Amino acid sequence: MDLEVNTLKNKQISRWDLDIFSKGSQGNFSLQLELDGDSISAVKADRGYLHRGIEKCFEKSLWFNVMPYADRIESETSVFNELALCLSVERLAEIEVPLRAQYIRIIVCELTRMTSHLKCLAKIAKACGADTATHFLMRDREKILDLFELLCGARFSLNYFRFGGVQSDLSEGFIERVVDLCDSIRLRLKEYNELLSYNFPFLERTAQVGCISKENIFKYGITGPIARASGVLSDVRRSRPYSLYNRIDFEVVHHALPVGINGGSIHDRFMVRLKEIYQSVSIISQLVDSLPAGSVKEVLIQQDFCVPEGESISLIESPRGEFGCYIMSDGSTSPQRIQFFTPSSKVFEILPEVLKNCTLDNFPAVVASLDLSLAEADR
Amino acid sequence: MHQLHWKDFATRIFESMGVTVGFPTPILFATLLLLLNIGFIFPALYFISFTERKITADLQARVGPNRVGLVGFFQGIFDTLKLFQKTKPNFQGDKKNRLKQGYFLLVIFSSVFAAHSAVSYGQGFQWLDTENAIFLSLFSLIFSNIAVYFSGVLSHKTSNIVSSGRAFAQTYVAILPVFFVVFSVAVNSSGFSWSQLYVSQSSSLWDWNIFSNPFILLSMPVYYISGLIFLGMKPFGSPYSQMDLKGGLEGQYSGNDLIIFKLTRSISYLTWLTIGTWLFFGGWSFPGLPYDGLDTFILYPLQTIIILGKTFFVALMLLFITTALPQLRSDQAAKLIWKVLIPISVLSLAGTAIFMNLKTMWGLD
Repeated sequence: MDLEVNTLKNKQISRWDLDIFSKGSQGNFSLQLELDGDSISAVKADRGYLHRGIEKCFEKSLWFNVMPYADRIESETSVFNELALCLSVERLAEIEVPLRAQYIRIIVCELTRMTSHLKCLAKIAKACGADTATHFLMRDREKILDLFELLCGARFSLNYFRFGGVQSDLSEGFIERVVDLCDSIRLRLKEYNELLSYNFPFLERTAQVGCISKENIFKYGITGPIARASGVLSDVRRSRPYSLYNRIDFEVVHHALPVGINGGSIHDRFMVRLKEIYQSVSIISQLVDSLPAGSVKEVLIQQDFCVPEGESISLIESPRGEFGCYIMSDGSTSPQRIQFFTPSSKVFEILPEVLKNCTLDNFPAVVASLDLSLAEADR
Repeated sequence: MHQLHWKDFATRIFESMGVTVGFPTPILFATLLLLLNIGFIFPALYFISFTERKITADLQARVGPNRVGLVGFFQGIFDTLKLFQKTKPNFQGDKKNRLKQGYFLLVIFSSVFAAHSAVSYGQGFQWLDTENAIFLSLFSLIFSNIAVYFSGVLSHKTSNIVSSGRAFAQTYVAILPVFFVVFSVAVNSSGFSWSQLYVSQSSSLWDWNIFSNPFILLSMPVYYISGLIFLGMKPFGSPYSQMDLKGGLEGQYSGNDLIIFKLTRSISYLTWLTIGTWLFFGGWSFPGLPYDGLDTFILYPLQTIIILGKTFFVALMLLFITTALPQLRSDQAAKLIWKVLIPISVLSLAGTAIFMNLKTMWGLD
């Protein structure tokens, strides 16, 4: 329901319900906005519309075929779900991953990070009415998705990682196309910077808008680009390196502002993601240059695959923040418990705080900049 | 009490505006207006719309319309026909409010049509050549925006009420610098009427207002930016375009209503641009063209083509500039008007007056 009838009688808009089917809906969650004129005075947010019971589905399946379920937690960044699950299982089952497979995993993960960031930047641009920039960003994202299609046949929900490696070796021509893509993305990033980053109308719409303070970052446990945009240096790839990240030279992009300037605005989150795309390109270039030969999988997982009894947890840096996977096994062929810790769950909690005192005009841009994924928040 | 026959009433209205009327002049008027629109205006509008879609698509790395006709030239026609076929959704509001909404749409359309009729498209299509013709156009555009506001309110949807309120507010802020610019041009050209504007700009290219007076050159961007804000065009179209709240004004219409709404906005835009052509680019004057020797049946359509050609060129330039820009919020647009455009337009008016006096003193006029 869009509007209570009494608002017109009282000639004042006091409450606006945005359910998931209304025109102003920003995603698969409902919002009740209390409005004071044009600004939002209070927000009540509800989620759960995308709860699919995936974690229960894990318990009903075998270790052999849990990967597609992990994929579907968040289809667009599915490789991170897969990677977190693989790392937990490989740690508990003491499975060694071939070096070539590790390289491939990181390359695919960084490509996925780029797609996620490009999509978020496109959402911010669209919310601010910059259609041209939106199409440019999505165009480059399409090139990366075409690479995924070349690799494993799917654009989303790749179902490519396996316990102990990856499904198959790289397709012919994949590496060459990755190299070309990296070169073109470097040029495109300059273009986006010139087109949008310091464009006056865009700055007017995004600078000092939707600010999240450092205190709130710590209070709500926010991680990822949102935390880094508010000046909190937090990146699992640097603090607790996993896979090959201890061997790769990259910079943790963060945003440190002078004292007195409100950090963590939409513009800061935009710039952090833009710079992280550049870092991902740099990481991929390093890996591609030194990609070793060898097998991509040494352990063949079959239907009777068992994970030894015990617990394991893994923590990785997904495009939205710290992403964790906890597994508990009783030694059988089925998982006893698999639980994921997703960054969007925490971002959803801070949503009312961020939207308070925001104007209705800025509301879509603020929500777009938070890059909420209800699929991973609700599971 | 003596009651006027409608013909006498209409005659007195026309005579007060300086138009001599005798039957069947009103029928002739209506017929020629229809011919002008069918022969020139609607095709020009369609061509501008097609070019805009194609160029915007190219700038955004898309293909644009490509399904119907060569390079998709006839796609707009078929899109319109498709809209005619769409059935209207059931509104939550009652039938009475839906009818009122429809009436306001007709008011919008009628007033914009009136505005557009008062603009001169050449000597053959010049219904009003008086000092208040330009103001009739501007006031009609204002009335159309009032109707847009009421139309939005009647939909009983939050997003439409908020969007229409913003559109209304933007309109009334933006009209002020426009009036100052029009006054500046009138001071420069010694009059408001179309023929006076033509006479003052007809001698050569350098007599066009934009080149003959530096303050008019300064006021030209003020006019066009104010126009974009007034009409709610990109990058000031947030109340209409649904970008901000995904429920802006255009979202409340569908089917026939949407056609009328979009056509009205297109005609408003064309009217606006044509007035700009008269104010700054000399109307139908074209340097080097031998008007004196030409037959009326060639001259009058040629004048229309020249005016529409200049208007189209300006529309293209605006398109190239505005396509890549993000949308500004309504309050940011209002801030731009009050803090930048109004001061510049006032300065331009004062400067034009001083400049003209100096020209007279130095014998340069």
